[in-house]
Amino acid sequence: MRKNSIGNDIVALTNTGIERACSSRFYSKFLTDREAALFNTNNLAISFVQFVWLCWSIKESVYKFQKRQQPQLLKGGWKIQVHTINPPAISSFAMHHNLLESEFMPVEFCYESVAIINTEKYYSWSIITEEFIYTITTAENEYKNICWGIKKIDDANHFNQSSEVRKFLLAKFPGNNFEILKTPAGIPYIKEHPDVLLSLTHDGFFVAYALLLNNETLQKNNAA
Amino acid sequence: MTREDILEELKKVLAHYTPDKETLNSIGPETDFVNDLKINSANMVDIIIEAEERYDIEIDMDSAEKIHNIGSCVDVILEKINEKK
Repeated sequence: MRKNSIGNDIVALTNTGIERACSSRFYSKFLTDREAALFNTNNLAISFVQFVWLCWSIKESVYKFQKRQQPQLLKGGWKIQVHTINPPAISSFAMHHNLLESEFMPVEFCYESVAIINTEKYYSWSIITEEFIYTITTAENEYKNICWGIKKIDDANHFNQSSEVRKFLLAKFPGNNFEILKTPAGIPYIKEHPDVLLSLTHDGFFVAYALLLNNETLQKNNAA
Repeated sequence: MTREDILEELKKVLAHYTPDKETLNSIGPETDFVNDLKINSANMVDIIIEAEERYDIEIDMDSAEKIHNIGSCVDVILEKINEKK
């Protein structure tokens, strides 16, 4: 049986250069012809730029999911094949404030996708707005137990993004002096609760976290 | 074209993408693009495209998959240059 895991990824669509995704020279580096053809299936109702970055986000999120299971895995979403993408039941989703947090995945607003590596399937849920694409990858039915949040920040400097995403997640646990560290393989964890599965992401002016809620210790500690 | 030549040119390319200029000055074969140089993963595609243009080579998906740190990047570029000969 596969170890449980989680991955997430955010792409800021307002970043300079995001339009370069339209160039076949760019997207052909990580999308096969079969994947590119998904753009014309299932009435996705998104632009080609959004489609390319949706596929990118799915692959990054799946890679993080997989990396947590296999820390020795080398960087490269190149061999992750996006197999199917289904559009949401409700297509309009907008972030009206600078902060969005939830303890479940609003699947009716999400693009659902299946990615395949060899014969293994990976399930992802993505939210697309005018400003960003956000993806979470979990085990098939685990999306019901996901706690996640997206925040818009003022400074897109890498070091600020990194600090802001940690502060954002740790604010979920007020009163606890928790610290987020990374393993040598680059996998983030809460020092005081290394068993908690979490994933962090940032791009441009957006930072986001996702964690699995099925950790009794953490919930108990938070309630204390 | 030696490994050292490629490494020096690669440093110039990476300077556009890494926020960590200090680490860039001390890179070696084991330096990781994302974890050490903090390079945005989408910029890895840009770096591959720049390398293609600079050396008039093509780095396909299979070769791109091998690139995970400075050493493997130099290996792939050298391999593609040698294939042209």
